[in-house]
Amino acid sequence: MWTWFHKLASPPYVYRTAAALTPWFLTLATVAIACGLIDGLAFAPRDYQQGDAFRIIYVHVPSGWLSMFAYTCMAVAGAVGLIWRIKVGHAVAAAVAPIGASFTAAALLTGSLWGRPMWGTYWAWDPRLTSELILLFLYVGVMSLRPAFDDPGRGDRAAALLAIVGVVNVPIIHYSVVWWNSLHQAATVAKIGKPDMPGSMLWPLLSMFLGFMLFFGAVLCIRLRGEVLNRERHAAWVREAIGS
Amino acid sequence: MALAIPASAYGTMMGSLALGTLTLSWLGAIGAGLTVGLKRANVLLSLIVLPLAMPLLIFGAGATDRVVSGVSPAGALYLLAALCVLTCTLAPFAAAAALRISLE
Amino acid sequence: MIESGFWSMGGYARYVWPAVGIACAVLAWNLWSAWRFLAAARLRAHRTLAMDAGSGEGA
Repeated sequence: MWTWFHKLASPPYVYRTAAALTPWFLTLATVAIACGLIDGLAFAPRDYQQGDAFRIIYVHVPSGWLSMFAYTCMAVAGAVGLIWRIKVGHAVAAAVAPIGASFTAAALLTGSLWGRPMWGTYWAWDPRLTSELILLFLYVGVMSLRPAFDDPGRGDRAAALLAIVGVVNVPIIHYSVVWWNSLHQAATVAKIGKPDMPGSMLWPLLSMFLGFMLFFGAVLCIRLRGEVLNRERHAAWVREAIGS
Repeated sequence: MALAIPASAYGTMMGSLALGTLTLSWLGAIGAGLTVGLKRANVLLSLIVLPLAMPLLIFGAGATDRVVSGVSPAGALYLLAALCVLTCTLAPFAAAAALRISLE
Repeated sequence: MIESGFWSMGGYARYVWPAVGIACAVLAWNLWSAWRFLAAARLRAHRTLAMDAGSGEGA
């Protein structure tokens, strides 16, 4: 297993593997998202309290989950780059940042559209909403800090440090509905024991989760290849990898 | 005095300011360490410190707000103290690492 | 199968469909942006290889 880890530190290996994985991730993601979306929008039973508006859950919750998952990936990858000085770590962190930021924006916007009919307002300074907004600012901060340095290695390290400092926000977002009297509803799926949702509503949601995760993998692979190329373009292996 | 809050709120306000100032100083140190020597450091500094300082601002203002409305500010003050302790213990390492990155 | 209620979403259409639209837009943007990024990186790498080869022969 350690050989596999060592391979992950090798830019050419990562480049080739990402290229090979992308079509798989993309195809499976398309299937999962299509199934989840069609099932969730057309066939899942209407919610007793929220009517058809609850169907926003099928895009909102996977986006929110992905926004937190991506930030954690970015922080871990940055830590790998900072502590063990593995450049691929920095490449992963740089690749994840814009993806995670876009999903954070999606979570905020779709949540806002859900909030209007349900709570009567597009926005509230609620713990979860506020901490998700903080997450967006953190993403923007990390993405702005990296290119501000003349030396790209230094920029990577500074961005990694900022990402690590900000990761404390992720558990705050997740537990905000537990720790505070939040407008936002508490966890229904990620609970120990039975989820609170009936199966016919739950399966499309799980399919969307899976689809979004696979999609994240696909886009990450594409961006990661770009990041690796940018950092390694003077290296010898690049000649064969991209053909001269 | 300032902002026309009742005298009973002064204690809480001073407490939240004391805790908040300490926390904010350390958060600023991290931000400064990361942006020292950069062009447009001031914009980046605000961008970095803002999300880190938001919880602090929310609880700090919340504490005074609560005592003015007559509700106990204890919860907000405890959280403020927790943020302060967290920052004071961990921020020095982060700020040192930031300086190392910026200046090595 | 899909009744007329599908498009009106029980009256919530102006919230649900824009939300779905935003999600699809974000997915599309991610793909497009990533491909563009990779294409630009490839171009840059090609140019760097050409320069390195040129300077190698010239030197």
